[in-house]
Amino acid sequence: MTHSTMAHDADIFETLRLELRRGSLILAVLGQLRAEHYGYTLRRALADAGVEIDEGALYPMLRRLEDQGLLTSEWRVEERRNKRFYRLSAQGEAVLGRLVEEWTRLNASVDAILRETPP
Amino acid sequence: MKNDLIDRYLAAIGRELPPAKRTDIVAELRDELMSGLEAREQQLGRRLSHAEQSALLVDFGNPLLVAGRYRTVQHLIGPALYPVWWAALRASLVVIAVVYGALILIGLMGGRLSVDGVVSPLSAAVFMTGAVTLVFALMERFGDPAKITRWRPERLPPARGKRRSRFDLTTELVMGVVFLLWWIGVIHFRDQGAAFDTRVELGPVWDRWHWWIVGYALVEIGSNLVALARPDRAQLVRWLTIWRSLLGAGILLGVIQASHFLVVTGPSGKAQAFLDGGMRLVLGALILGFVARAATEAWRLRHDPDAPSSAEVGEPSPPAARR
Repeated sequence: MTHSTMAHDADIFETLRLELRRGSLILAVLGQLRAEHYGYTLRRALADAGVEIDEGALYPMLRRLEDQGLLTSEWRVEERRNKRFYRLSAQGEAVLGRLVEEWTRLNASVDAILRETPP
Repeated sequence: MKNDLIDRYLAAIGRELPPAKRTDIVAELRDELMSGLEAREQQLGRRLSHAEQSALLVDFGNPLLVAGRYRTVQHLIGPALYPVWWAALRASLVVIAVVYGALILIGLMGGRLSVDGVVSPLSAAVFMTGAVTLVFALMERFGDPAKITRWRPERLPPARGKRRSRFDLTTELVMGVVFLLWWIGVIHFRDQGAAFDTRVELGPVWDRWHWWIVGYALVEIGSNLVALARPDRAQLVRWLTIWRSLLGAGILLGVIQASHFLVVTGPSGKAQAFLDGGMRLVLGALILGFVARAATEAWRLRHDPDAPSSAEVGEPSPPAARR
């Protein structure tokens, strides 16, 4: 395999990996926000759980989820600085519950397909 | 001094954000940056150098991109409208190429003609690209792309048989409109008269056929509009193409009887015979082209596997009727 073919394969893998992650990141953020967090600690908590997300993606996502009514937020002073704390709203909890059901069902289906012995 | 870079960075992001959300977003990003910076300093047990702060900000991202992610609309033309925009743009650029190609050809034949108000082919192409993109961007922003791209399976063209692409049809439609506008005098071609002090004008024979040619152009535009809007009416489009090709051939057969097609004034007397001879050849080729096209469409009408009986002309045939 040539160097350029390997690089091309790596590009394809990276694109598919990002596509695969995109939907699940929202689920991880909503799940993590069952407890209150501000942006930096949320990102750290997600990273500790094995879900890396960069700031450029996280903050616009939080804002969008809040606009959709799934999160609530408030500004508070902590550690000498003004911080915005996020938490799942009642609507967010309901939506998360449905998303988790969907995720579990889809996960089980994909898992079953991948475990099947090809004919 | 410590936070000078961060202040400048956040100000650059802030300038790109909507005023209503600016303070809020910048404050939140400042907290993220400062938390990251302090955590790093604590890890190293010293203050970050200027270069390390700079690297931290580079990692955070280009201010334009960081701010851009907060926009509700992040594209000019979305995936639904993109293929239509691309087809319209290509067709427009082909029309410009054809119009300017014709002007250059006319220039080579003797006169130097140009379209009033248009500086150069390049500026026309740039203007057209901007105008088409602006129209589609407005459609994307204020229109309903789902409504614009709505379709019905029944209106798809028959699966078999040779058909012209939407690009070809759009190009011919726009060229037909440009020709008609020029023919009825809405667009003026101006003889700059610089080459050899020669002036070239259409001969009187064209006046005699003026309204016939207007009629032909209208039939051609109508036929292309039907082909674009109702591709399922393949047989109707074939009939329209046959009729207009025969009409075109008939008009040009009338025109070719004349002895002069162009009137050349000025010192280049020999150009008259040269241009008339050239025009006669062009007209002859066009007549042959029209007849060949009518014959091809008539042949396809008979041999197209999807062709309905003559009583069903213009209607898509149900599968059962073909069995």
